[in-house]
Amino acid sequence: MRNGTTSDTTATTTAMLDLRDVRLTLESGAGEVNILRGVNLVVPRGQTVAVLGPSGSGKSSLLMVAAGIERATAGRITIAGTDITTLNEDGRAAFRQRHIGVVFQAFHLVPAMTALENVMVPMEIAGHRDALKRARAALESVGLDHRLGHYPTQLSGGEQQRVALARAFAMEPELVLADEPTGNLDGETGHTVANLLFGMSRKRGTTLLLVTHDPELATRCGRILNMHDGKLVEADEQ
Amino acid sequence: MGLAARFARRDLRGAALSFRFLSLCLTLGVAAIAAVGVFAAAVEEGLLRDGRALLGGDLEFRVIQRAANPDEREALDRLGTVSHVMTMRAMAEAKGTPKRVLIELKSVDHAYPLAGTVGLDPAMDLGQALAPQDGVFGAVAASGFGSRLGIDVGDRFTVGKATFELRAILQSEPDRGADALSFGPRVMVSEAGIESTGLVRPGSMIRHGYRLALTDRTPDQAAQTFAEEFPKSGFRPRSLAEATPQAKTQVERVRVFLTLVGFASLLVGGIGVAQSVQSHLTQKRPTIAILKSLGASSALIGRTYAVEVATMAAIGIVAGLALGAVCAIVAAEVAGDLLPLAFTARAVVEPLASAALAGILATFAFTVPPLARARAVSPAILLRGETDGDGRRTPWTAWPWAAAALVMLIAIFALEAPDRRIVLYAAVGTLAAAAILVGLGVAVRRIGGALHEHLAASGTGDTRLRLALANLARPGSATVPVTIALGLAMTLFVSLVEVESNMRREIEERIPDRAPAYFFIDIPPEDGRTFDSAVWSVRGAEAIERRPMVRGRIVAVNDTPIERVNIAPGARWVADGDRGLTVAPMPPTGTHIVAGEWWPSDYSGPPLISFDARAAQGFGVGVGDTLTLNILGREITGRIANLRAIDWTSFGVNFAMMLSPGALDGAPMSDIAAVYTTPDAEDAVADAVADKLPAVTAIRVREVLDSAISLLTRIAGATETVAAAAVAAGLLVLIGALAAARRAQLYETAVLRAVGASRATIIGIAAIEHAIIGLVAVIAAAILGTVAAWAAVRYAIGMEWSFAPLPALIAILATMAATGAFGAAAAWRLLAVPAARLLAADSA
Repeated sequence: MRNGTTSDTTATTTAMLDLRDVRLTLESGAGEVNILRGVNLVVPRGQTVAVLGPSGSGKSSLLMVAAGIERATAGRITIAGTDITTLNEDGRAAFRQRHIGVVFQAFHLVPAMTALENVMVPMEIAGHRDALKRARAALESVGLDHRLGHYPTQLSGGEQQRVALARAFAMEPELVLADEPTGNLDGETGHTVANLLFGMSRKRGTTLLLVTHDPELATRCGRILNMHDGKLVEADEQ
Repeated sequence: MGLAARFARRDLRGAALSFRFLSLCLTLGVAAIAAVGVFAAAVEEGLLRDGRALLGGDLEFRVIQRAANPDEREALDRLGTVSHVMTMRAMAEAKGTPKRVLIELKSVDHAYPLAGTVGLDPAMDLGQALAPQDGVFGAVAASGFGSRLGIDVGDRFTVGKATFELRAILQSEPDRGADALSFGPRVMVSEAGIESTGLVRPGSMIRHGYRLALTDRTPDQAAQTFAEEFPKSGFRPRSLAEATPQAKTQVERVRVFLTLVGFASLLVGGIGVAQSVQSHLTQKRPTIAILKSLGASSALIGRTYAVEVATMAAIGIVAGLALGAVCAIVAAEVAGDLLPLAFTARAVVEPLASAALAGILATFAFTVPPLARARAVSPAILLRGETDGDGRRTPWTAWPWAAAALVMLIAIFALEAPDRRIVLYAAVGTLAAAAILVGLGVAVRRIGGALHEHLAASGTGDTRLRLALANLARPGSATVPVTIALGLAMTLFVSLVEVESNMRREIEERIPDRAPAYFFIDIPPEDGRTFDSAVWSVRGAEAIERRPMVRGRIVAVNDTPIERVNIAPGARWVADGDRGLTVAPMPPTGTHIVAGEWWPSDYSGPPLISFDARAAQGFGVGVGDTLTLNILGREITGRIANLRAIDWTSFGVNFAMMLSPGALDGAPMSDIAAVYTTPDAEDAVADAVADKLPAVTAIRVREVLDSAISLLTRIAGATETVAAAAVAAGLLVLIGALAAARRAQLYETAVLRAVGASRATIIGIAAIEHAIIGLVAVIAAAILGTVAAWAAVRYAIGMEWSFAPLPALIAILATMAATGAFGAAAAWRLLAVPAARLLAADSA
């Protein structure tokens, strides 16, 4: 069994995402916890990848490390040719804002902002003057043009996740990282959201790395990986 | 800033209320400082506005115990229009009754007043009111005079040998000034009238004022012209700028004191500000993490929340300025007749700007740390939840900024104060107290946690107590901020009450114990024996201290003119005006010589001086140095032979300077005497002296003390009002802490109820938790406040210290009760929310 997917090292130059021996160790009251134990992964541009694994296997941590939200303890993470492990937190935030869209299981909308404002945020940070127009269009594309002025608490779970999808795709990122995007939703709503997610990424040719514990959802991806005890393996290699 | 402002606006839409404690705390602190500043500035402006009237003209020359000689008068007349007034203390007696009243007697000439107007009731011309009619001089007097003597307008009374008819009530006297301590009502008579009393004689304690309406010179030029022509006249010029230096100094002192109290209120409020911002930003940590996950930089986060804080602080500061201004105006209504007040643009704008700046600096100092923590929040908390340590510790870079703002805050108070050391001592003391309280708060948390663990492990102790102890130590508990805020506020309160209690006790109990019953002044030296026998004729007379006295002032120290001598603030009073001088062949009983030696009783050489040791220290002189005194226009230089430690609070006949025999020969002296009696013999002694020597003036010490107590009560009232802002700020911090903890406690309460805890148990837990914090804070406050009061009483005021346990005890009980009650009330409110709803919501 090979650890990770380092089969094609020459693909690095064309890869959207390239993780090399990525490790994440956190301090806890009980001592050090090794969450990622040397993850290797190369994802070519436009590929859709699902990471399956039980709770606590480290799959969400992998996503956060790849997004630069969590800083890797060791290893190299190259996204669109940039090694983000050399960037500080603000540098990673700026990089994320230009290249990455993130969808969280718990939606993570800003409660004090309306749906429209939530979608506008990344574009406003980027200094886009047409943020309002683009946000409106993004919400229309997820079928929420009638909910623009609603606050997150006034939206259903499915609607909140659609707002989050609109926000993640509004900046037309090259890479979208989705952490259990349907995990907090019922079956039907989850299905709708998944359709939207795959539809949008296909339409835009976005590279998608999806973390889920739902095998059915994973099968919709072009490639499936399994996470076990902080290590990543191709599903077909198990 | 545009994007930050936009984000801030969105964020505040739903959260402005969570900042209410920030705004309220700032409002209180800023209002306290603004009110004090505006009121004091209005008094200063009032003194300036009324300066010419208060001074009585453009320039005044003052001289004591003698009038201008013809040459001097002629020189004064050449400078402009002259008005001559004389003032002295004297006894007025109702015609045909034994009633006698100490009065402030003043004679005026036809030119009076050169500035301002005299208001009389019934309205009449002043000259006409004072003129003789049917061989009796007229007089006008302040409203209290008639009632105290039991006479009405139209009735007659005597002063010395003269009889006067009270023609009108003196409604307004333009040059009355702002004498805080006055010994009796003003009675105004003509020059001829005062002459006829027989009290104007060499050695009498009469102050002469020559006021000038200048024709073609400035006050400085006129003063210089006169000084060049009569260099040793002893005339002291006073211009508009110094019209009311005493009042100005008193106002200044009270202002600095009250501003310091305001500063403490602002510090207590600052803790509320920090707590409010921290509580808000703690709630906003997920939002910050989301924004960062979407690409927001730490700087953008910092700016966003800085805009929010600045907006809410601005609201608090503006409200504080408005409230302060209103309080100043209300205070003006209350004290309007005591002080001249002018709410000019300067009187309002400058102090308000200063208070606003103080509010801004306090906001900065107290919000930089929580804002820096917000900047450091990691987006990873979206994954790991709130166990994350990022953004919980304050980045070290925040502390120098916060410290700089605090130093600037102290500096603006210090720069405005005449004696910066006091401000610095007070500021350092306050910060030290705050540091001690921080340590104590942390200790309470740790000990609470440890005790809880011990009780839980051993299975002993009351459940409510155990849970209350656990609450003290829980993450985000208000133990530390509430301990600091309540502790500081109560420290201030206890120290003020202790100082006031000490001063009151000194005046009400200690001084009367050893003070004489009466001072008698203007006793002709030849009547000394008559005076003594009159006193001793009364059963109950215990002792007489009688000494000859003449007034004189220091004009040079070691031949350096006094104006150029650097004198410590505490000793300036000795040089500021005329002081009583006496000659003594022998050291008076109880004299404590600390340096040098007393002269032989038969000494007859060049003048020697025995000087007050504390004044000598302030002057920087010692035995062997010389002082030059101007006594009624004659200058004598004497060598300091010894230094005496004088207890000025003894109220005996004390002199800062005593001279060797012969030094004052030829000077017109009169005797001053302090008479000690049993309480029931006081009136009899006064009557006996009045019978034998009607011209001698009696000053009853009890009345002077009452007057001092009334002044003390007014100042204490003002101080306690300002200190109330600090106590209110302290309570706000407590209420703010309870509000901040509400979200977490709602859940805890619901769980406790779900597992069967009764309402009484839950309220009991909250009451015990907060009573413990209150008890610790206030015991610390009682100790710190007592230490501060002791230092102030012992070293700043120089009095004997005595601890008054009652104020400290009341503070302890009241604070404990208040904190416990607030905690219990908060728990009561928590109980109003159905537990099922909360638990269901949590599981949803």
